[in-house]
Amino acid sequence: MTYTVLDPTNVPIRTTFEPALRPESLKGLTLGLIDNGKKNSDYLVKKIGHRLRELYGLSDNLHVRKPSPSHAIPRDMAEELAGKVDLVVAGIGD
Amino acid sequence: MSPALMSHRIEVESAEQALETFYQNGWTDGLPVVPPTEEKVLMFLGAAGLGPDEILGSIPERNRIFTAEKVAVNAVMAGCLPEYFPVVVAAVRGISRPEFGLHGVSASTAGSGILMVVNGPVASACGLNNGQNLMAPGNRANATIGRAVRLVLYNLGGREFDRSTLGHPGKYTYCIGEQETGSWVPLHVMRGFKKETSTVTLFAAEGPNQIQNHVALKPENILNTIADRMRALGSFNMGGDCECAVIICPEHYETIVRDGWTKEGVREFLYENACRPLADLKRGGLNESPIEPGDEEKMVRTVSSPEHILLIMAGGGAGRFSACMPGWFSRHMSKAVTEPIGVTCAGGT
Repeated sequence: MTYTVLDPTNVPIRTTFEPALRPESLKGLTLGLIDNGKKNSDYLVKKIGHRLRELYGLSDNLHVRKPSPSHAIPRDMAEELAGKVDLVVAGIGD
Repeated sequence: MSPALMSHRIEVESAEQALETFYQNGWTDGLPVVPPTEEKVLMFLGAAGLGPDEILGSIPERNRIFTAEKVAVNAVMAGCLPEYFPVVVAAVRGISRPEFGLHGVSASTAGSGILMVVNGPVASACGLNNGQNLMAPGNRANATIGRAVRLVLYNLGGREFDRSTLGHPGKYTYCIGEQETGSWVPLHVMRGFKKETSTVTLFAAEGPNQIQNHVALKPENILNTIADRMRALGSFNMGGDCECAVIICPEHYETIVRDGWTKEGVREFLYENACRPLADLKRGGLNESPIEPGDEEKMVRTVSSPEHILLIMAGGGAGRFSACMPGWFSRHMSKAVTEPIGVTCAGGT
């Protein structure tokens, strides 16, 4: 005799998207930096931006700070970045 | 005809083998679970008037959704009765509201529990405990409703995201009722609902900080003791804009209301007196600036408004022990929410 039970788990919903084209060179491009809003995250991303400029000749940085580390970046903030920068550095951390 | 359930079926030889399989797959909270059969899950969905594919909530940051079927599976596992399921449904809807900030709440190293306060007729209908041993084992509704929500987070929300340093015993369950028969306005009415509406209030909170005062016979003295614990230096409330839950036990309540104090008055008093000098935060390194003249007199409040205190009357009839539960991180990341509980849950917001 078998006993049948149900799996209680799920998996994340997979979404398909076309990744942005990778630039052949970073020289002269504008970098976006997403600060997750935690303490000292602003210092960290600024240092990352500064170092990448030194290494790769990026022209400028645009630094935005998420209003909440607990939530995704607001849509208007993401759209602003998309309109003004060529690539973005983002991360999670505490 | 029963609706089709989409969950993967697992064939085993017995209920006991099902239990061991669930343990081996990491699908429990460390305690035995009730094996979720199709029959049981359909009973739960019927009790709430829900189709299996109705979406009750989600964590968008993780691309995770919570269907009624999957929530029912986990509620069966938790040991709920079908009549508890509308409460579980409301709780899942509530924590999925953007203002609750479920992603951070359930991932944080801070490891808050999700305090659930059930108000209205459904609390007594489910036999929820609001008295002695308020937050202890022994009551099926308190134990399993809270447990169901946590199993949902583990099995549907992504257990791997929970990076809490110390954990929290309320992650087994943290579900209570409130005593609504006294002169005080119940929590859900203070939060804008009618008394006859059943609701569940969800709040990301520390564990209960028990506060004893068996000597004081004046309300102000009792409340000063509570305010003292609320202003703990090591809570997020100090230096952040956080809410705080306070449970007043019946013996303290009797002393307080004897002098005519309302909940509003108690909240106002706690708001004014749960504070400490800015110099204390600097001594604790929570503010890295040097101590300056005037810092001993500049007060930092536990909450930024009396309305940010969730005041509840509950607990056993003997013993002068109240409690406070500071909140998690900040109101801009998570706020307490109150979700109505439908007799049936179809078409909820």
